[in-house]
Amino acid sequence: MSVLTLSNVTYSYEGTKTNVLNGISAVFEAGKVYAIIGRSGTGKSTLLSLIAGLDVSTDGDILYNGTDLKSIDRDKYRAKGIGVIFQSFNLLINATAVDNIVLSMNISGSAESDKRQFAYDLLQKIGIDKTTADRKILKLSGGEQQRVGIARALSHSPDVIIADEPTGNLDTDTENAILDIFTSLAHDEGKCVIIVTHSKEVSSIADEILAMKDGNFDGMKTMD
Amino acid sequence: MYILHHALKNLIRNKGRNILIGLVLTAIIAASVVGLVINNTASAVIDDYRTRFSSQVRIIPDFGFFRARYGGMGIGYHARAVIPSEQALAFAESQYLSGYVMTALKNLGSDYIYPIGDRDLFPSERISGFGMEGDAPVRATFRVMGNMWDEFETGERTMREGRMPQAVGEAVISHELAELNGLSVGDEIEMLHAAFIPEIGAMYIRNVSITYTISGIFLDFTDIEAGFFGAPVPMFHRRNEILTTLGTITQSLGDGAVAIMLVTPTYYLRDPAYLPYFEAEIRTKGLADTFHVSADIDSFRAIVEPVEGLRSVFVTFVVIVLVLGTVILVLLSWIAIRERKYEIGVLRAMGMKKGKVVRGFLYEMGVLTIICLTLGLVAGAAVSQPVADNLLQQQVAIAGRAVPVGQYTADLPLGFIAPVEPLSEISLHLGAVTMVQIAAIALLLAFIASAMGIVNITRYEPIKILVERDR
Repeated sequence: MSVLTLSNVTYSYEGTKTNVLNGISAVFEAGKVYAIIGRSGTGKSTLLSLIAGLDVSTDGDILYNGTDLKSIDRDKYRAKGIGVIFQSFNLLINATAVDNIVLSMNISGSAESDKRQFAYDLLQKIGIDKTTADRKILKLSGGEQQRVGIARALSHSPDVIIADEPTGNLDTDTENAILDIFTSLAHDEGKCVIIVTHSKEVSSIADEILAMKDGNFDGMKTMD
Repeated sequence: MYILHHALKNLIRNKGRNILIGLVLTAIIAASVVGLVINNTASAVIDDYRTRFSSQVRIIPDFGFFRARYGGMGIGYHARAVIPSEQALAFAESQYLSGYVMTALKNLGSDYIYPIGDRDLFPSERISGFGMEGDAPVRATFRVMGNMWDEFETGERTMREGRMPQAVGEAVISHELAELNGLSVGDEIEMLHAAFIPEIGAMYIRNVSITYTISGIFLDFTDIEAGFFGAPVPMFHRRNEILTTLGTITQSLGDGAVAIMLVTPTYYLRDPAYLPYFEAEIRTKGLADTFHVSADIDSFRAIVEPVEGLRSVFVTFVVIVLVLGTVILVLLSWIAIRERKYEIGVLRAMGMKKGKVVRGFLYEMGVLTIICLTLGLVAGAAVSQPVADNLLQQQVAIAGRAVPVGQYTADLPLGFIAPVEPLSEISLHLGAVTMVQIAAIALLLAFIASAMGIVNITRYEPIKILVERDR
C-alpha cells in the first residue's frame, strides 16, 4: 500500500536556477525498508527534507496517504505522520535524552499514559540505559546522541520513518540492533522506513534500493 | 501544559544565560522601583501641597499703601489694614469655597486686673498723640483671641477647672493670670477697648468697656516667649491671653463703635482655578482694592522645590536605566540567539507549531520576569527610602531657602514673617499605581528580551535554521 508518492518532484534553492532535484517520481509503500544511496551532492538530503515536510518542492507533488503535503498541516505531519532521524541528530542539547523523547511525544499528542516510562523503555531498547537517559544530550557521545535521535523518531509511532545516515556513529553491534529495529518496524509493524545511507550494511537490509544521481533516481533495485 | 513544563525546565537548563538576563532584569526593575516610587510619591506630595496651598486663599493688605496713607504702625494704620469681621463672614458665603476657618484677635487693656509680666503698667496707661481725637486710647496689655483653640488640640493647654466658653461673653483665662488677680470661675472681668467712632470722626477714639465672664481656667504649657516676637511686653505674654469664641470677640460694641481687631479668615477654594472668580465675587462684596487676593504659590514652591528636584533626578535616572538596560538586554538576547535559534529549529522540526514555540518562549520569559519582578520590587523598596533621604538632603541644600523677608501670611498677626521651610522628608510607599507601572516596565522588558526569539520563530522555516547550523 502506497504511503508516500513522489510525482515529478523538482527543487531548487531560493535565488538559484539549478535544480537540486529534477522531477523525481517514486512510490514508497508501507511495510518496506528503502535505502537511498548516491554520492554526496546528488540531492539525497534535500529529498529527505521534502519528504520530512521541512521544506516544499518547487514543482511536483509529494503525496502522503494520497494527500499533497502542500495542502496539509505540515507541522502536524511532522509531529505525527513521520519520524525523522537527522544526520546531525538535531536534539535539544541542554535537555536530557529522556526529556527529548517525552517532548516529542507531547508534541505529537501521544496518548501514552506514562510517557516518561515509555521513553525510558524505548531508549533501553536501543541501548541507552536509564542513567544515560537522564543525562543532558551535551554529555552524550555521538553514538549515544544518534540512538536518542532514533528513539525520538520512533517515539510517536509514525507511519513513515526517514533516516539520514542513521548508523554512521554506531558500533557494529548497535548498528545491527538498530537495523533489526528498522526491519521489524517495516515488516512486523507495517511502517515505511526510508534510509539515506552510504553503508552497505544498511543497504543490505533494504527491500528496495534507490540510487540517486544528478537530482534524480538513477535506478531501483529490489533486494528480493 | 507541557509547553509550560518545558519552559520551566528550560529556565533551569539554561541557567547561565537566564541568570545573566535575570540579573539585568532585576537591576532594571529595582532601579525603576526606586525611581518610580520616588517619582510617584513626590508627585503625590506635590499635588497634595499644590491643592492645599493653592486652594488656600490669602487676603493681604497692601502695607505700602496703608503706611503711606496713614503713617507708621499706629492705631489708625491697623484699623484700616484689617478686614471687618462682618465682611469676612460675608466673603465666606461663596459657592467657590469648600470651607473656611476664621479667627480674630484684638488688644485690650484693663483698669482692674494685672497682666503677668509687668505690674508697673497697672492701672492701664493711656496713649496720647497720633493725632487722635476723643479718649486717649488705653494701652493694650492683654490680647483676646477668638476661635484659637489649637493648643488645646495639641495638649499645650488643658482646662484646669470650669469649661470652655459657650455663650456670648464667656472666656477662659490662664491659671497664672487667675492666681495673680484672685480670679475664679464665674467671676467677671472688665476690660477696656480702644474703638473708633467713625460717625463722629475718622480718627475719633473711645475706650469702650467690655465684660467677660470667666467660664474656665486653663493650665498653660506653651512657651511664654513664643508670643513675644522680639518684644517682651505683657500684651504678647502667652499667659495673658484671654480665649473666647468668635461670636464673643466679634459682638457689637454698640454706639457705632468699630473694634480695632484683626480678623483672619482662611478660605479654601473648591478648586484652585476658582481663585479669579472668588476674587471677583469678594470685590463686589466690598473688598477694597488695597487688599491683595492670592493663593500661596511662593510657599508652595519653597516647600516642594527639593522634592521636584528629586523627582526630576529620578525621572532622568529611570529613563537612563531603561535605555541602557534595554540595550544590554538586546545585546544579551543577540548573543543567546544562536543557541535559541537552533532550539527553535529543532522544536519546529519536531512538529511544534510556531504559536506554541512562541508561547513557550513567553512562558519562559514570563516566569523569569515574575521572579525578577519580585526580587526587583523587594530590592527597590528596600533601598528607595535611604536613597531618597540622602538625595533629598542634597536637594534641600541646593534649593534650601525660606520665603523672602517681608512676606506676610493671613495666619499670623500683621507684620510677622511666616517662615517656610523646604520639605526635608518624604515618606515613600509602594502604591498600586507604582506596582502597575513596574509590572508594565517588566512586561515591556520581557517582550524585548523575547522579541529576537519570536522574530526567528515567525520568520524562518525550520530547515533553514537547521541547515544554517550545520554549515
